[in-house]
Amino acid sequence: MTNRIETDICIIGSGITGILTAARISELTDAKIVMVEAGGRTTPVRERLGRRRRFIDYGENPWINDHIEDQTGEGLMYRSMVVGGCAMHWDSACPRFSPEDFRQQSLYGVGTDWPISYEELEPYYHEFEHRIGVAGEPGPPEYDPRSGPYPMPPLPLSYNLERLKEWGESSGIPFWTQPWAKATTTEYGRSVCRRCDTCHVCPTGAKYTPDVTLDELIKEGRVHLISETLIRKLELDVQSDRLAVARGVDRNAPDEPMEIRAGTFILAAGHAWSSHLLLLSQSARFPDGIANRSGMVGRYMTGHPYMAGFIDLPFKLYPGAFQTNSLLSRMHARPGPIDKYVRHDLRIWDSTVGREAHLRDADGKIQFGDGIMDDWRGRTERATARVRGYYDVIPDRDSRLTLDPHARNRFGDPLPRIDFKDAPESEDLRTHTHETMEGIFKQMARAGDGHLMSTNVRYTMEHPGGGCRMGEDPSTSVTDSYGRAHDHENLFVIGAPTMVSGGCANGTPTFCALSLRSAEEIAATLPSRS
Amino acid sequence: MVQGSRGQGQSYYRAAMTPDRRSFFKRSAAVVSSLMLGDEVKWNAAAALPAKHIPDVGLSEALDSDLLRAIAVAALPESLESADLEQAVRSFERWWAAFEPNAELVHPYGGWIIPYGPEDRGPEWSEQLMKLERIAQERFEVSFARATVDQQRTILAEEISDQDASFPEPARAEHVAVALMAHYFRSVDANNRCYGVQIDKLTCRSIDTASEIPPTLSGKAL
Repeated sequence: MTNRIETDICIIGSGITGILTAARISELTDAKIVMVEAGGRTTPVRERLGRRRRFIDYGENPWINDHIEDQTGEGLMYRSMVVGGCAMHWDSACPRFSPEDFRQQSLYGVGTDWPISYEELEPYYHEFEHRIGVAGEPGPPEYDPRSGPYPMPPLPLSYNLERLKEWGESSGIPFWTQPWAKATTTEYGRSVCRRCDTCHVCPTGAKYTPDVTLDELIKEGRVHLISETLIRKLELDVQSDRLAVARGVDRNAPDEPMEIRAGTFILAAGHAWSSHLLLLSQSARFPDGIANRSGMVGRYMTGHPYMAGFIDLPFKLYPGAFQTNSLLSRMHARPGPIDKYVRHDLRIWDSTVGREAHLRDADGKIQFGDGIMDDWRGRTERATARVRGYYDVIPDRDSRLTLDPHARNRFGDPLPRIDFKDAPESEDLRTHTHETMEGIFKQMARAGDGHLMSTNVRYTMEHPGGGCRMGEDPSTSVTDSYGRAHDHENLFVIGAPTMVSGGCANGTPTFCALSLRSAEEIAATLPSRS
Repeated sequence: MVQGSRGQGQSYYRAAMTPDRRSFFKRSAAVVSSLMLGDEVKWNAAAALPAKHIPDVGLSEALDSDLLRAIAVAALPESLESADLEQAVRSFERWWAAFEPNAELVHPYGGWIIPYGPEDRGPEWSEQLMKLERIAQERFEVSFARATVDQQRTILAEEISDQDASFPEPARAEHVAVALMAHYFRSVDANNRCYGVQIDKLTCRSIDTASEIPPTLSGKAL
């Protein structure tokens, strides 16, 4: 028997963007909101402390039931499929994009301008920071333009980071504290951060996780959550291009189909599963999938690689206490006029690399007892700084999520496959980008009488997005700047999938700022809250 | 010549690892960790890790307690007091008792494949302990525990001659001696002793003192 639900708004996905969107809409309207999540609940707050211990001792996953065995794909995608989404275990770094990220074509002649400017999005960044509680210090205004301060003061620098800030700035680069969604005061009802250094699973609740907001919404009757239910297809109204139904299945009762009828659908399923669901939703009128008249769904998948380095420095640090905090500079993300398009951020952490105990001495001989300790102490007279920069790359049209005909879930649905690809202008600059960043690392090392020990590049895309790119032209994009599908007036795609490019900063604040802006647009189509 | 007498006379603790005992260790580790957090979060302690979430997998082997202590005498810092050494071995035993073979590990960033931890090393590690004993008997006509530290180190160096320079995660150590050493040299105690200050890595504490150099270790702790 089919389980039928009718609602004003159906949100597919219960990650941070879906939850914040639901919160904002419910403040503005009385609309009935149903949120559907394929995953279930993961480790509750009261168990996170114990799970943290095993995470430290054995590297075990502290997040129970956080993935669905047969709901995965190939290419970069996160396995987490739970109530609260990936931000259940985020480190909570909250840097914003820079104004330049939105105007690559106008300013540098590469990529595509976003249909929205930093200035238009800025109030929503501000709202995001205040809504979830971000602790941070504003950077210099020329590198960190913002309309107001963070709601909480920054995490204090450790002794190590104070020394490293002094060193980093001696090379002429300004650094400030990375903003984090970790409480430094109690005004958000969270305990103050106790620098446990396992932010992946915060044992004190100082770090913001979206389940807290969702539980409040549920408790207040503002959202009805249907978990462990996989939406498999979106269907159109018979007589128009409006979406009418989301069809799914309760994973615990696979013989009982689920049918959700709504006035507005919000797709909040992240960079992989949003495009995937649209591509799965094929029909006679939309043979390539919902919202895909342009053939753009699944294209322009984006993100950013990073280059990292380890720098040996001639002073003593004490790594191990508060290593998760870091220094940030956005100077190279706002470079002014440049000949070649290289933009990146820059971060510094203290590190234990090269400062650990070794079984063998420098000559390769096995050592025991105090011999190990003496050798170890000798190597801790100097310090290691870890430096890293995310750099912006322009996604190619064929940077793509497709349906993999060779991999299917238990229901027979083809699973996603993502193949990232840089546009030629980024591919051509890859070597130059790495040389430029290595040059900066060396400049920093020299300024502190140190040396660059090693570098490495991670080319898998971090903070991925795209697949439902926003734009003004329906022939080259999937949604408008509010995430409204060009093809369907009552379908909104929010967060990561709408990104035009990956920028050079963590994506979550931008995903959420865009979503809060979408929420206001969606609410404007509904009766105001009584 | 260093004699292998340190640690003898301790009340050794040789009970076999029954499933109940393993569960107890798992739960106590969780509770101890919560107590380390201080008053603000003690509310977590009682319910830190309900038993229903701890699959009792049943390790195949308890590791010979005397031989582990003999390895500790030979391989861990001579500067450790007997009580510290005993503490290091007990900590390793507790860690081993609560180890879960083939456990699901934390997902790597952006990885779509779920990683799993190493399998049960018990049989292999027990065999290695017995081999140490055999070699000591054959070569020096004493038990490994009664051999001198130099003799013990000679045997150990041969048995772990193919190990890398860095210490692995203990559960991935190919030899039980390396596992014990790795467990200690990656510990809070070893890290503090190395730096001579109380870094107390991974310990939750106030952010108010973050900018201070950690307090110096005093006397015996060094």
